[in-house]
Amino acid sequence: MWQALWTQIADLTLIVVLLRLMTPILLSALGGLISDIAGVINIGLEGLMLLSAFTSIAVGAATDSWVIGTIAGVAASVAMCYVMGFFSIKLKVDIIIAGFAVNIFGSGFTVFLMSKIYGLTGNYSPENLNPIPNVVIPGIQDIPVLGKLLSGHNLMVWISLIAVVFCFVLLYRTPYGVHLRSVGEAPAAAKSLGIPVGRVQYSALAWSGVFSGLAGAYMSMGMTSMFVKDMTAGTGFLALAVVLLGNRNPVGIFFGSLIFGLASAVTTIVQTTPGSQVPSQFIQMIPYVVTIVALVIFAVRKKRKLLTQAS
Amino acid sequence: MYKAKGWVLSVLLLSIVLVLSACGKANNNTSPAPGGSANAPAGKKINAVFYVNGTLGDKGFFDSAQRGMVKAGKELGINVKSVEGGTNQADWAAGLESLVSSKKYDVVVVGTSQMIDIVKDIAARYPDEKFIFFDDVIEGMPNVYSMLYSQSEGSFLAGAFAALVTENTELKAANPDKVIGFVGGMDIPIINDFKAGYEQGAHYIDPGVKVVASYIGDFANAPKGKELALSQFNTQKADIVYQVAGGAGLGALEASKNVGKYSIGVDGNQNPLYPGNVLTSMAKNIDASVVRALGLYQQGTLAFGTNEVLGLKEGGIGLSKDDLYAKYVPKSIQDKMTDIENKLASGEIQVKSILK
Repeated sequence: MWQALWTQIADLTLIVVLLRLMTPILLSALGGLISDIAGVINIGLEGLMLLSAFTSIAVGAATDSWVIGTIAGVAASVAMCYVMGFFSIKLKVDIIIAGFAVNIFGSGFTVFLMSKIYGLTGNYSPENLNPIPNVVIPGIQDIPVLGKLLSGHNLMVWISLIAVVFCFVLLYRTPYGVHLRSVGEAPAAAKSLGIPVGRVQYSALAWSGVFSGLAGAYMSMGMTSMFVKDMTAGTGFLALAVVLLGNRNPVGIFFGSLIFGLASAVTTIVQTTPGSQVPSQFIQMIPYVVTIVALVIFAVRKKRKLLTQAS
Repeated sequence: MYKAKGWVLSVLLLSIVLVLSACGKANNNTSPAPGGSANAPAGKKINAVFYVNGTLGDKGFFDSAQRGMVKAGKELGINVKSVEGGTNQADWAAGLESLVSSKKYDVVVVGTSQMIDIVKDIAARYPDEKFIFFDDVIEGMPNVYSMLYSQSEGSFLAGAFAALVTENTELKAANPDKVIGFVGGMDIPIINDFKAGYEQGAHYIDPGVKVVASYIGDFANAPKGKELALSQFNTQKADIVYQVAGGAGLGALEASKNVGKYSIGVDGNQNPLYPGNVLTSMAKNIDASVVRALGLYQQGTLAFGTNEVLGLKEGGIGLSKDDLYAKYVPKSIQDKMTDIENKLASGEIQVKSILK
């Protein structure tokens, strides 16, 4: 088992698997982050991802273009976010309840559409789908280590990394970012300064729709080329955990997703080792145990820092 | 106000008319059934109904049973009908009871473990009605015959097939390493029964074949199913993977296409999903078993009150051998598989199930 792990670290397979597994978590966590910072925490990420996963593959297969498919998926997700905003911001429904409704809706509505449009109930895998491409960098591709490290990843992996920088700039280097943060910290104060609180919160929800839309499109058209009922399998909730793990900042979230992706990648490797004596249930626990450990370490360090500052 | 009331009334009337006419239509094609409760009403046409606890069009269980009903209708000359109960579980008990209490049908075909309690309840209250139950066990009810499919025997065939593929030299993607993969949904007894059969089959061909087994953890996470299969192909040098993971397993099948290796489908014929990569599928032949049970019922020899495990001999399970199988699987493997199937059917090979 250890040997298998080591060979895969050595030949960089681990990194490749890690990047693949990290991307959906990272993207949807960034979406969760922006909504959280503006004080309208979106727990409907899971449902939004499902909606986008289905819409993008359905449109992508119909138009034979992954670009249009992805845009459609993101659009569906953003539209759903506006509906959510309408209920929570305009009609003052609790945002948590609205989020739950979106999760349930996403799971049910995608299956409903699948059965109405394609007459299928469990899964949809179009035959001639043009999936989101892998980026092969010509010169670097043939260099031994660097090639595997940089070339051949899915386009969405790069988009997710760029999104981290984008979110950082958006939140900390633009007036809009200041508005977002102030609305989240003290809505009344922000309002007194003439910041349109409702509009900023709508836009924050829309951003979370954009990112979870991208994550959903990646799941159905990048990682796989199919839609399976409830295929997100809890990724949206992991993303919410990562938002907190990452201390509500884009760079922290990047490392949080990295830890989580790494744990999942290790799980995959351990699980496929022949003759492994560890019961599979224990192996499947690894990502969650790692998250808890990381949270504890983080909390302890934060407390120490506070204590030293106080003394 | 009066106008509004008039509207409501007319809409109400219209809906009543519609509902009534719909009912009438449904009843048209079923002739009144004989009231007798004998096992086989000799000389009279049998009326059979298939109650679907869900909807047709799942490309799996229910569609397969439906094919069996249609076939039974044609070949055995009985009246068949199917009623879709919808996906709302709360409707199933009432739906099934209304079919039974109408006394129009001699025998009701129904299945899946979700229906066990409902069928037990209704069968006890309507002792004159006969039930044929598939894909789970109901024992000790004098008017219920249940049948189970031997996944260990079917998986034995899949394992033997996989071992033959990994040792084959004609298939261009088969590597010299004697490793085959298994991707299961969850680490639970019924999935491990598949795995046990698979291992026995592989070791029957060559005890040196290694089986790499991984579990996804659920039956929906297709990306994870794909990731596990990719890992088995790329790092464990498996050349064929057998998936038993429902929707999540489709990810494993897709992985075989992406890396140009092979896979084995499950439940139904999944060969056409990725032709040339999904070489065969271990199918539960619910259609054949329904035809068989209705045939036995017609002859009056169906053993009500018991449960039967249908293996290869009874046609309950088998590898899907369609045109794609004939096209992509080398002749030597096909011949060898036929040979193994004969031995399994004659009882020369015994497969151990971990469930018993």
